[in-house]
Amino acid sequence: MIKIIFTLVLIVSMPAVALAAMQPMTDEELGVQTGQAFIQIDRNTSDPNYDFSRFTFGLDVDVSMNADLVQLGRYDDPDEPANSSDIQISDFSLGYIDESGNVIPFQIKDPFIELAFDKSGSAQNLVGIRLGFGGAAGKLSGNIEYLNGNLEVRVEGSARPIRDANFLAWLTMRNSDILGADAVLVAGPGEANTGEPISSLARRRANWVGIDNDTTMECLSSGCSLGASLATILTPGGCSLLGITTCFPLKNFKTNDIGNQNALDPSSSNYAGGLYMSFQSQRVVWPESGVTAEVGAFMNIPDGGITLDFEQSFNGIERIRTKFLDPYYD
Amino acid sequence: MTKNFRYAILSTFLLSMVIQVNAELIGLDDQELGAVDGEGIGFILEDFAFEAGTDVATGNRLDISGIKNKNGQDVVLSVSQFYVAGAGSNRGANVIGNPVNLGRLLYPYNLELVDGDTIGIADKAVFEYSAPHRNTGSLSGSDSMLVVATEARSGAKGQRIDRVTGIDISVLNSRAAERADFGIRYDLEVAGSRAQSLEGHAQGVAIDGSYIRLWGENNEMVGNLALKVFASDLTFYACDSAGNNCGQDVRFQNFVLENELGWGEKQPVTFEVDSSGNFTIEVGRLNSACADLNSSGGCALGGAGYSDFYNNGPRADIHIGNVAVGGANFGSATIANMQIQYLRATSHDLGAP
Repeated sequence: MIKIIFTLVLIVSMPAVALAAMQPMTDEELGVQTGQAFIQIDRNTSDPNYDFSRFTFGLDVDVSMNADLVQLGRYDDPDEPANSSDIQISDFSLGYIDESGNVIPFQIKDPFIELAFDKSGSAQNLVGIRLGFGGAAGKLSGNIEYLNGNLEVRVEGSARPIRDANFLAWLTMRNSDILGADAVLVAGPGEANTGEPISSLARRRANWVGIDNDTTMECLSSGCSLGASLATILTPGGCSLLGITTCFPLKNFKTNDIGNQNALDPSSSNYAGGLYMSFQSQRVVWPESGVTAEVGAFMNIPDGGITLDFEQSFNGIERIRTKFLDPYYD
Repeated sequence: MTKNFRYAILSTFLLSMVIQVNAELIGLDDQELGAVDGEGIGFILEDFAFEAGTDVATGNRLDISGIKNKNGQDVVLSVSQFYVAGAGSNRGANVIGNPVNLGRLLYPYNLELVDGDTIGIADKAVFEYSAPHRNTGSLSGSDSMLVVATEARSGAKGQRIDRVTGIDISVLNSRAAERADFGIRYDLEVAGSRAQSLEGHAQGVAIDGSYIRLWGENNEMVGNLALKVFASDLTFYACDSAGNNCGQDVRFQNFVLENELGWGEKQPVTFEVDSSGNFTIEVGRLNSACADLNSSGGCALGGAGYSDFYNNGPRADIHIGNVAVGGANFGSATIANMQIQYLRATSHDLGAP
């Protein structure tokens, strides 16, 4: 009887044993296997001041998230406002909810962590770390209360308000001519050094963006040669150009487009490079950024095509819905 | 007769054992019995210390190879000098003879099958691996270690977190002797040349409140994850390839990570690996469950489920009490009440030229 039971158990168990047996892969099968290059490590020693080590992760990330607060580098500094931070963004969001109630995630490609080492001495001094993205596309929302960083905004608009305010401009320009200039983080109205770029001051924490005191307007339309010459002498002073406001609170820019996202076909979105958050104890120009990251926590929000006319700049960009039950909407 | 005598002695011996064992047990009354629900295994590691890969120069390390840089050169990441010890490990110099207790009898690490109905996963048996649970903090008023100040939203409804005002240690059940010191060293080799090393050391680490929950759904394994970490101090610094000429410390003091992924079966977390070897992690999409949409895509009707999600759903908080580089302090860093409505991360080959 025992033999019969043993034989039955053996017969039943044999197929399982056979299935569990491992089979060697052929060269052809082995050759098509991938997934081993998920991480890439690069060491960059070409900079005269710093060595960089970058750890890149081969990831495509779609994310929709909300946070009450992103606050980095909160400490007292005699050059900065009381109770301020290097970066303070309230109601920070990535992605949005469309009018049909669909979650439209923010798209991230190949995030990386990079370390910066001071090469001036023999010691390996770690002086900076940044979290960056190979590419990003989508809507980034939040109330930017303080920003040690860079927000690329371009102001372009009809020459009409300039013509209305200046007789020479009225003579040389047409209403249809387009005037423009790049905006940077500046000291705002009511602050010391109004209109001066923050990067030229001892302080770093900005809450205004605008056309600084050293930047002249450009006339961008064809056939505005006289106007173009005039535009070069139209330099704002103290956040005002002929009575027109040229500086705007960062808080007004509530939703920023990063890259050019195609919500209907996310695979065809155009990613913008350069979105990163970093922390450094010295001023560092991170590789491929073209931006000097100031000491402390720093955030670079790249050009996503934020181009506003004078009126839009004053009014800012409305916040988009980011929650199904949204305190800004419901 | 002799054989029967032997049986009699053996029976007497076995019977006596049973009597002795019974004599050491105390019966539970119905109330006590009703409070018992532990169908699992609890385990603790008493007087635990671990040290590996201390002699890096003679190859006492774990090499992770097969990595390339963007120029296609081979990169090797070596891991060594890993240790787990008690407080006062002095960055790995004092490990053996300086053990730590990971868990204790009242608050062990647990492996158990949980009734899903009690944790928002209906009609499922849920496998759970959990660290010692947390208390309601005397200062925070919740199981979060972060004591926060809130502010009213300008131009919108409700309150939001404005800043972190303190850290509530009373949330932890792990006592000081049960919070471990960890350390690890990484060495980087590019194209056969050792470049530098990076060391990381953590002091006073507790993971109370962390868990992994797994269950089956539509022939697929899904789960929820909570990773809650407190370290009184995290220190990083770099040295040359021989481990000398170390630079200044970068310190994160009072580091708190409280990260929950997934919300029962309403927002499960899945992990898949495809035939090419690439993986996908997904935190389920909160699809619109509104009975009626308003013009901007929100809920005109039927938003109760979302209200529950935003008020009580999974969230992540990260706080560093102070970042210090060398002798300079750069203050605190906080990301508060972060909630994920959808996440999908898919790996791909970066591909060297």
